[in-house]
Amino acid sequence: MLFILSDIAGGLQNEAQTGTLEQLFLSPFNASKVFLVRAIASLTIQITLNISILLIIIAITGSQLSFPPSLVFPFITVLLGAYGLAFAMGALALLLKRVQQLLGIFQFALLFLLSVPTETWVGSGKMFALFLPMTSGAGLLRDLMARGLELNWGQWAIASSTESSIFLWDCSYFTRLNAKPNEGADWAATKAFAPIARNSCFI
Amino acid sequence: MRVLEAQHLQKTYRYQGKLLEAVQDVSLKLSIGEVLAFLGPNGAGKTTTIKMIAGLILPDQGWVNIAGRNPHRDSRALRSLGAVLEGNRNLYWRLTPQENLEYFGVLRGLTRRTARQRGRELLERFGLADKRRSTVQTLSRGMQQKLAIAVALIHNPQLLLLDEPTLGLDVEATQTVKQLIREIAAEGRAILLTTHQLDIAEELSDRVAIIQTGKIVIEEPTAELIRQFSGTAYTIELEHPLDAEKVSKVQELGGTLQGQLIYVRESDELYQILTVLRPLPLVRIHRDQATLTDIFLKLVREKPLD
Repeated sequence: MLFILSDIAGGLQNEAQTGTLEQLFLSPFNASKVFLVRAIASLTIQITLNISILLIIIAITGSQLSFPPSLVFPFITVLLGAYGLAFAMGALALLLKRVQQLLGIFQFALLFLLSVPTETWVGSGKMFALFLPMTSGAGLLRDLMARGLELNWGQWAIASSTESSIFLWDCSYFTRLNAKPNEGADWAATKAFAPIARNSCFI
Repeated sequence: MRVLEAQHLQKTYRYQGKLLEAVQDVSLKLSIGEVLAFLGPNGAGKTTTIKMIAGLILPDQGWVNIAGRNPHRDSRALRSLGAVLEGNRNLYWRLTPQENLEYFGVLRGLTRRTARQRGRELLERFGLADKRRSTVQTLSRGMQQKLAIAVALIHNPQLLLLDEPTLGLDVEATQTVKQLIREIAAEGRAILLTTHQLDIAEELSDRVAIIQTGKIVIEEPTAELIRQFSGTAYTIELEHPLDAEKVSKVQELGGTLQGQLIYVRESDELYQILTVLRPLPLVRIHRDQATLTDIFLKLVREKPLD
């Protein structure tokens, strides 16, 4: 998840600074397709690397994690939330030009969201946790992989709707920015960003 | 044949709560083999105009046509467009020149094989073949700029947009890039060039358009513009100082002396003064000609920033 944030937000900022971002938009291909392919390629590499490292850690520490096929669902849910937040940070990176420090702080927030055990919370705290991005999905993954529980489909449905809402909100927000480019701090950046945000709807 | 036509481009945006008319009714045309120098002070609207032409910024009003297609409506127009825009050379620094060319070639719609082959040809042509496998970050700025131009040419576009192509280059690299621009134009491509180095614009351009506070203040063929702003005076440089008798005759004919220089106001007087000077050795005679820098400053100062 941290990788997705640095890859999307940091990558967009770097590309905007070096001028390669504009070159991508000078392609006759739809920019959404270009970014979709890049995101898939990047995610594939990172998942391969992360699974390899995870297997090494399991081998070294002797920890036991289960990988039931049903973990794909909460995993995709968490990815949706991560991409939504990453694109939001990417937009900030393009609008404000320099958000490296902010990205650093934001990573701590992400770590909190991913590691806080909201699945053990009760009462109003649990209700509140349902609206936090990635938290519910991460809790479901812990249940499946570490605790060996079955997937709670009801909870997954709630988590999915939360992550999808965050994701779709980003999409509509950036589409709106594109429709009213004059209202942005840098209309060129918003123009450049909107197709990326639209692309995120495909992931 | 017309490659670029931009008509009545207009762009307004909000900046710090105020409406800023970045570009107002800008129209530009460019034909095959033509180099248009698009000049203006910082903040005049050059980059916004170029980005509207490239399809990166949607104009509030007006339209753009590249090789018969509007880049804002038909992405096929981008197949006829290459660009080196502002920024840090528009290249991936951790990739090699060959990899950059292949990547952007495929992105422009070439097959990987064609992109590789064309990339090799461009590297040969631009004198970068021996750097094919070095990463871009290890190349000199001049080499990086040559590579950026090569990348912009990978798909053989008819129109090339060059935003400050010689910025930050040393004298030798500037000469190389200038020569490349001449060659590219001679191949039959249209080039829209922005630069603050007006001597380069004067040397390379067929036409000049000057933009000030978002409006085109003049657009003329470069030679015609220089002729319009040049006077009719001549300067004669002598090898040795004149004796008193010749000084007197030159002054009678309307010449003004300053050391070994004689200033003549009109061409009629020139030949009479040359008769007086015969057979003295002359270093040179030249017509006082305005430079693009003189013209630019005059036009920009006549219409200062609002």
